[in-house]
Amino acid sequence: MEDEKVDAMGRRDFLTITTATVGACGIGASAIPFIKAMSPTKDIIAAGVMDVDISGIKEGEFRIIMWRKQPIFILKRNSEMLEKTNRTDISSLRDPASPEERVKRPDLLVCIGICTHLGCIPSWQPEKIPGLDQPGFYCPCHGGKYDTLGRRLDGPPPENLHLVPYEFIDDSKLRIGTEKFAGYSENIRKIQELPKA
Amino acid sequence: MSGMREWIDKRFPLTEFLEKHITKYPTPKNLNYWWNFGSLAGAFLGVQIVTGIWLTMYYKPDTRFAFDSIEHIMRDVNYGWLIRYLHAIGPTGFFFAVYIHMARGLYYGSYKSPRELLWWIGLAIYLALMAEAFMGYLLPWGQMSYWGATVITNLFSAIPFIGSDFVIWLRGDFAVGDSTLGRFFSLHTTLIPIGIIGGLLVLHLTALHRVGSGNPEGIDLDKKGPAVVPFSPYFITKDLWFISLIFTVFFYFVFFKPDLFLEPINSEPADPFVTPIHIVPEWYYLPFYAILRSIPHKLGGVMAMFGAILILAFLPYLDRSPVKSARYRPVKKVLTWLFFLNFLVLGYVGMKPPFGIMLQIGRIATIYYFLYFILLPFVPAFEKTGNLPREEDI
Amino acid sequence: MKSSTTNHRDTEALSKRHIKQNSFLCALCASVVNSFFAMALLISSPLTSPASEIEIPKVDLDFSEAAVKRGEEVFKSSCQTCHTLKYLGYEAIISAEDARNAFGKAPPDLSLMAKARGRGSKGARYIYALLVSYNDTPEKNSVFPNIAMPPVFPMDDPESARKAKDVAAFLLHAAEPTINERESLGRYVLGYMGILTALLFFVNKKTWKRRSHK
Repeated sequence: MEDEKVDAMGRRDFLTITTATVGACGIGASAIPFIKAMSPTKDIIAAGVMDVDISGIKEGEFRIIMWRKQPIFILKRNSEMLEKTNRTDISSLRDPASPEERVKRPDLLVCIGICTHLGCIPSWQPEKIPGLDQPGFYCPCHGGKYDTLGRRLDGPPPENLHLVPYEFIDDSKLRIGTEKFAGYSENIRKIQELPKA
Repeated sequence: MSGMREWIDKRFPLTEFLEKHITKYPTPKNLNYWWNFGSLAGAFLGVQIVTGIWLTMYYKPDTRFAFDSIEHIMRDVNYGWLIRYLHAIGPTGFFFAVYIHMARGLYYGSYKSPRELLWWIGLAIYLALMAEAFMGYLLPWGQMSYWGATVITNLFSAIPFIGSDFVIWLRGDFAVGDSTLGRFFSLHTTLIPIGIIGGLLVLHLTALHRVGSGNPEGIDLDKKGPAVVPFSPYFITKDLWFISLIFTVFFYFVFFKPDLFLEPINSEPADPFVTPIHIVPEWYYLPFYAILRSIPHKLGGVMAMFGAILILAFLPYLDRSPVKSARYRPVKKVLTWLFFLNFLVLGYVGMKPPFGIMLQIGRIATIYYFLYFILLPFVPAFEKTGNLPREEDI
Repeated sequence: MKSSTTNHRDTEALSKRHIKQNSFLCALCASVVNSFFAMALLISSPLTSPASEIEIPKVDLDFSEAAVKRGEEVFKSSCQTCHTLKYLGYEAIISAEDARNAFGKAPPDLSLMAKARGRGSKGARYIYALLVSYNDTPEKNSVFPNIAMPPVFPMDDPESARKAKDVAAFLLHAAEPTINERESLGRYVLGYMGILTALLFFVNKKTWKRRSHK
């Protein structure tokens, strides 16, 4: 009698536990569509691939364009800027990166214009960054300083300005973004680490 | 774990409430599957609320954007199509459960003392549900949305003296438009869901727990009625498996045949200048739509339609037999089954154009609908009720 | 409140009655569910839909990816002149104003036309039927008499039936691009629900059996 009871208990427990597990899996799985539904919609993701006309940009000229609601810095670097950044000692940088790791074409910087400290938009300093002997970006919020490759030179920012995937469609057109790349949160600072289209 | 329980119990009647109203709640053990439809309705309510909250994240209650926002949900929002179909087809499951739940009430005399209040609260929930579904249907701003709302709000112009002004006030404009859409959106997403859930459902369950569930034999708990079992685990498992079964059918429709429940012409944006050839309400309104169209007089039709619902409130007083369950009432049993069949006939008539033989059938069915209630008070005079089982036999 | 009591008397008669009641109720539920299905079928039947007066042929349409792609080309070459497909980003070539002047009616957007003309694939078949039913009678078109739209394909075009099928398939896909995702997810969901329902059924049965053995 006792054995029968235990046996029945054992069997019922197994069935109940199995059912409860299967049910819990179902509840978990049904949460997924609702969580995913709150992610950016397909049209927003599709808009994340954007073509920019760079034919008119002159030497030394700086532009900001909006991509996925974020500011993107586009800077046509002149020979002085190229020289200056080539001479910078990479090991002295807080976030070391060589020019080849920062740009696809030496004369064009494409990066996200959001300070890596606390998110303000650094301002372009075509002559000299305050307190330094080179042009670059100066963040007014807490004094972060970046060179013309977007590398951190001074101040509280921990990292260089982040990069976005981009390609040259031809000499006059730049395609920024891929459908999958999330953007700022991906936190990429070297060209080689960018996701492919 | 149990320490946390005790800490809470000292400050909040958690265990006491759970035991009294759920786990140890005494439930007649002889309940049959007709008693499952209340919890089933609750499950569909859950679906509507969750999917409704998510849809509200993307829906735009403006006549310029409403239709497009739904296409945005269908095409661009991840799993938006799923959330939309669940929400659009859910009411079918909801009303399916509610109608059978009400049919149980009719058949087993659940409206009789001491459950009159429970019955009336249930009717209030039913009316609120009809209003909720009606307002929700305007939101996609399709052809049927617009014209269905126009026709039904027009009904109120039948009210003597104040009718026309009332309709303008109801719509917020001289025709259904942005004002109407805005208020329907507000009431559909705020007042009625809060009113139904927070208010009426809590009242409904409170009234139920005061007197306990009825049962198929019709003998009550407090007169040494049928044996009881605790609600948990017996009726939790029973409710869960049945909900799972019906939801399997529900998901079949959602995933494979959603078009059965989406009126094709509602895929066209509302056009105030073009009236569709057939204006058909959703299936759960069809019986009352048939009653409305059976009466050739405008106000008469409106009164008959609303009267058909309101007459249900008088059941506790129309039904004079001391025997609750139709199981032991041979005449009422037949009349009630005919009533159910008649309701389905009315539903069929409601989807057809009101001419010829359909109109005649509709009129007969309308007459029988009301005849049921008129006959009920007289039935005990000649009905030989079956012997109720002895207490010991149950 | 009463605590639970069990009657040990005549459990046999009790279970017999339960079986009788249960099978009766099963029949009841079955008939209710069936009438629900029947109603659903009725609602979907040609008698109740607005395009009910028209005979839609039961032609077999090919909804494969290849057909949809071909259909998109047909749309671009034959339909896009006048019709927009706004949710897919297609503009029409001529303006609605010019079209209205030329044909008497503005050409409707086609994004949801396959859904608007019938449930399931019926709308696509309607579009196919309409496109191939142009004739020389005064009615112009046997599916849609006195239609404002001119014949889309030349009446002697041997490819017109194939093109019509392809563009119908394309328009059905345009009306609901997520149809494949829906059906494939549906198979998993229904499979899961079948298993869950069976498991819950047996848990319930076990629970009640234990009670009557107590």
